[in-house]
Amino acid sequence: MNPNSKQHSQAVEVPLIRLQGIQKSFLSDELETRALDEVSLEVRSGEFLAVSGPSGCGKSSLLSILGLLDSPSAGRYELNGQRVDQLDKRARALLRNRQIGFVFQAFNLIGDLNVEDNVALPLSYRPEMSRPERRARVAEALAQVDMAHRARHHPAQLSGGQQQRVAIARALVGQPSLILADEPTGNLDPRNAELVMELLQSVHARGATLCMVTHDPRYAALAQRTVALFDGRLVADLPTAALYPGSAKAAAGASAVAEAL
Amino acid sequence: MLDDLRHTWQALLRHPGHALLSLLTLSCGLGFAIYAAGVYFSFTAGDLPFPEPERLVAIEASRDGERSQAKSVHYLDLLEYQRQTPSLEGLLPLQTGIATLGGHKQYPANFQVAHVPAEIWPWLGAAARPQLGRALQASDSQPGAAPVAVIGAELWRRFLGADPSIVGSRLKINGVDTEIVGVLPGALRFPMTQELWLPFRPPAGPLTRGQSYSMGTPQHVLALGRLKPGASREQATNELNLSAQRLAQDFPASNRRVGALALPYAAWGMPDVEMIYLGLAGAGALLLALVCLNTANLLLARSNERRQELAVRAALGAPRGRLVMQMLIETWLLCLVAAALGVFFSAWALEATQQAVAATADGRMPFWIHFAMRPQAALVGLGLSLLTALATGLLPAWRASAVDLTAVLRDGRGGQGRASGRFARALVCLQIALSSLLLLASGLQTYVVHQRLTAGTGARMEGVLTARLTPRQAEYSGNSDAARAARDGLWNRLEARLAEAAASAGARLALSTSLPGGGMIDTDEILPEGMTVQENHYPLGGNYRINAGFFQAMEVKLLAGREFGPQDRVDSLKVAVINQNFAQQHWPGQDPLGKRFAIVEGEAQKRIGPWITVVGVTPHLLQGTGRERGLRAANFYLPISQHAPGEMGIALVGVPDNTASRELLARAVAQTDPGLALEQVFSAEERQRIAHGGEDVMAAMSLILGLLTLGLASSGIYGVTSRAVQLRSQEIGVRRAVGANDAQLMRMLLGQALRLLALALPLGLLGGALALAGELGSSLPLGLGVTAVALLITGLVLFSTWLPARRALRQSPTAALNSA
Repeated sequence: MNPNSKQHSQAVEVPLIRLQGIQKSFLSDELETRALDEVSLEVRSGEFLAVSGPSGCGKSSLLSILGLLDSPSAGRYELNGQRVDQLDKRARALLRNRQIGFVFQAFNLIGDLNVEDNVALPLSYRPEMSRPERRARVAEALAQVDMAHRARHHPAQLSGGQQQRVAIARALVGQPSLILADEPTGNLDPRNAELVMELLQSVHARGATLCMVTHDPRYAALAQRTVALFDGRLVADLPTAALYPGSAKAAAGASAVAEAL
Repeated sequence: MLDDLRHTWQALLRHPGHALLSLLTLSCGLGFAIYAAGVYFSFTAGDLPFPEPERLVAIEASRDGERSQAKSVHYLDLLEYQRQTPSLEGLLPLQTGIATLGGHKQYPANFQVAHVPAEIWPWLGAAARPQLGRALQASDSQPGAAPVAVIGAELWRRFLGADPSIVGSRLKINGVDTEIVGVLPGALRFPMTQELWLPFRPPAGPLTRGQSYSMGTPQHVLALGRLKPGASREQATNELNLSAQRLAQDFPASNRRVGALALPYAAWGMPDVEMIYLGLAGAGALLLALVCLNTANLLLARSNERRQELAVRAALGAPRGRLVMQMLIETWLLCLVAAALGVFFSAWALEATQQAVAATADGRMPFWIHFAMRPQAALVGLGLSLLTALATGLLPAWRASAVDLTAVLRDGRGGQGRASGRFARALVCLQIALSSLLLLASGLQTYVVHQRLTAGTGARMEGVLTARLTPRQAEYSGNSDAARAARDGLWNRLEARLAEAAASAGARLALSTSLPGGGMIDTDEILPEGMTVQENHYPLGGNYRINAGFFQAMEVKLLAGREFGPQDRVDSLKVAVINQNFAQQHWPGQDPLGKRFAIVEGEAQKRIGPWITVVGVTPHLLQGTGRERGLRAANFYLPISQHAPGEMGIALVGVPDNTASRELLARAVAQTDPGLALEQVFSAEERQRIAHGGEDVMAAMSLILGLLTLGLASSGIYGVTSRAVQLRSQEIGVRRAVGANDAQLMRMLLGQALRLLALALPLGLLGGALALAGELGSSLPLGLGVTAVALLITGLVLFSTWLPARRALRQSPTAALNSA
């Protein structure tokens, strides 16, 4: 875990993420589609941010830009005080490896690798790290998600919920500054979804900065802050309690339902 | 089913690229396999014009169960078989050979002759019904009967000008005044290539069995049997073997381990057909396997695209078997069309083969062999197309039908798990191994044959007219003193006449029992001076007899010593000229001049002949076709004046092959003895080309096979390798998401490709090398071939990995993550 993530920005006011006027356009068949339009956003270190909005509003595009998987067509992106929107592919890859962890809706584990190797994947691109240290970190990450006992299994032998926990372990193993989750419960049944959300909450509780795209207001309500997108524009940026007035009750209700199941 | 057919047809039309590529690939493999089947059936199906040809069986002796050669049945054994083989309606002896026929108005010529008993003609039916005159009858074979002969209509037209008064006229056959009593239809070449028939008479002299196993002597005959209705060849073989076992007990010296086989008529005189076919079939099978791999990969890619469709069909209740059948229908359709194309192209290739073989066969091809597409080959094509469809399409169909409905229908992904990855890697390995094996084998084969065809003989070949002379008259035949003396006198007179004729044309004369570049190989066991021999295992040497001045005439510069000359007479020191190989093999590092060797005579009881002194060393001359030890052969040359041969090769060096030169040659021979007939009158180059016979065809086939393999290997390796990379698009996206840069990913993919290469390439190269190890004279071509194929395949694999990887890396990580 990045020790800096535990420090809130009271003493140092540099946000972890600063987006200014971000635009993302796609050109297809000579038709320009604007996925993001003048999005400006700041995320503090240690914050839990939910990104919501209807299908096609630009949530995944935003997450791709935050995760340096994609570059904005215009605008400025600073990560940890460093401007990153104009970095080349190699530099972006390095930053992703060191500072960002991903959790995808479709888990995106590699079928040919076992759990242990899947979790170790980010560390395999850190040549300075020794094998013992790598093994130790993997073991720690698997323990965090309670999947150490399945280290030798392959993804096809795991349930959806278990696969997503492994994916979370992979996101954590590099001790990133930022964890990006794109509909992490989208492919899960309610019980497993609940368990995964609890896991993400515990990760956040340990100081991680978490940005999560979600459709589900129950899970959006678990975040501290929610931004809403519509047609590529940021249309709301409020504390979750303000956006979901009954959010605490909604969260409790969701847990009770999950327990009953 | 009709709906499935209709949907399949429409799907193929919607994806014409995939369909055409699959069709092209399949028709290459099926076409070659059908061609191989066409060659086999051309040899063995035999359009025999006789009634119930399946009842005619060729009887051959076998040794330890293996076939020997055609004239392998001893006449005394035949008499025993005649008595003791109830499944045969009849068993008749024949003899074949070459006879010199004296023409009315032209020089004598040689023809293939068969000595046949009269009882054989009814077996041959209408095909042997005389056009003029009569067939041979039993009385013609009686001792003291007047010499008679029957000729073929082609011979009658070609050589005798279709003389209408031929029946009853007299011609000299091997110097014997013979009445022509009949003319048979031109298409008949009974038993194989013969067009002149004489009455069969039992072998002359007292009939005795040898003290050891032998074959091909004057007391051995061909044997033709006719099965009784309902009897089988297997029955006949069993009965013959029972008789052979009794003979082995009674005559162990000559008949130990000797059996008998009843073979189909079409197997007569064709001992190498199975080897030829095995080679072709082997190559065809490997090529078809490569084609199946390529097509399977195309189908796997296609089935990947159809997962959504199959998932929907399954969700709507289609059973798995039906889904598999739908996929297979597409493959079957493609294979059937490919087989039809294959039949078409094979028919053309077989016709081309027939023309090529006919141009070089020089009358040696049995009459029933005609290379053409036959119904049997087309049926084989149909059968192969069904097998190929199963081999190619079943696995992709089965895998595609095992679709994870939930995963595919929910988000279009099907979970490419470990099995997919393993399978893709296995395909890559198989493709690499098979491609490298075939490329190396076909490349080396093409090289070997090309080397043989283009290898110089070491002697002058252009502007050389050659011919062969085998005196067949009675006075020259046999080993009696009189016959030897007659032959000595013949060669002396002939050499004088030919030298005079050569001089008049400004040419030189060379005589040899086997001229370089295509003649017969004659080997004897030898004992070089100073060699200690273990257990009667003597080395072999090629034995050739030449005239004085041979090397000078053929423009061969001796490396040491001298040519034969007038001092080398029958009563002087026995001398020889050896070739470089002989000197290096038996006297390495020593001066061979003055060394001696002896020829080992006899078989069971070996005895050392008189010592022969080496007086000259020649560079290597290519005797024969180069196939049999060829460039490594140790040869020695003896003067004709000391070792008179039974037959002679003649070369006029410095004349073109035209009518005038041929007339010059024929006149000189006729002046020596008007009963002699020249044969195989060709230019030296033509002679060499004919001697290589089917090698031209083999070279062309090897080259075509090599080119096909190259095309298939290139497209196949690219297909499987790039597909293996595409299957990992999602994985590449994940790795990029966790921080791998392009260089790291490219290194990973190329490294994995190289690991597969390291596993599969040696296997393929080893297979290819083993296939041809025996054919190569030295290890250099093998080394070069292995290096060339290794580089080519490595380049292909790396390119096939790099290009799709580059494409995948250009894709945005998000798009890659969403692909699967």
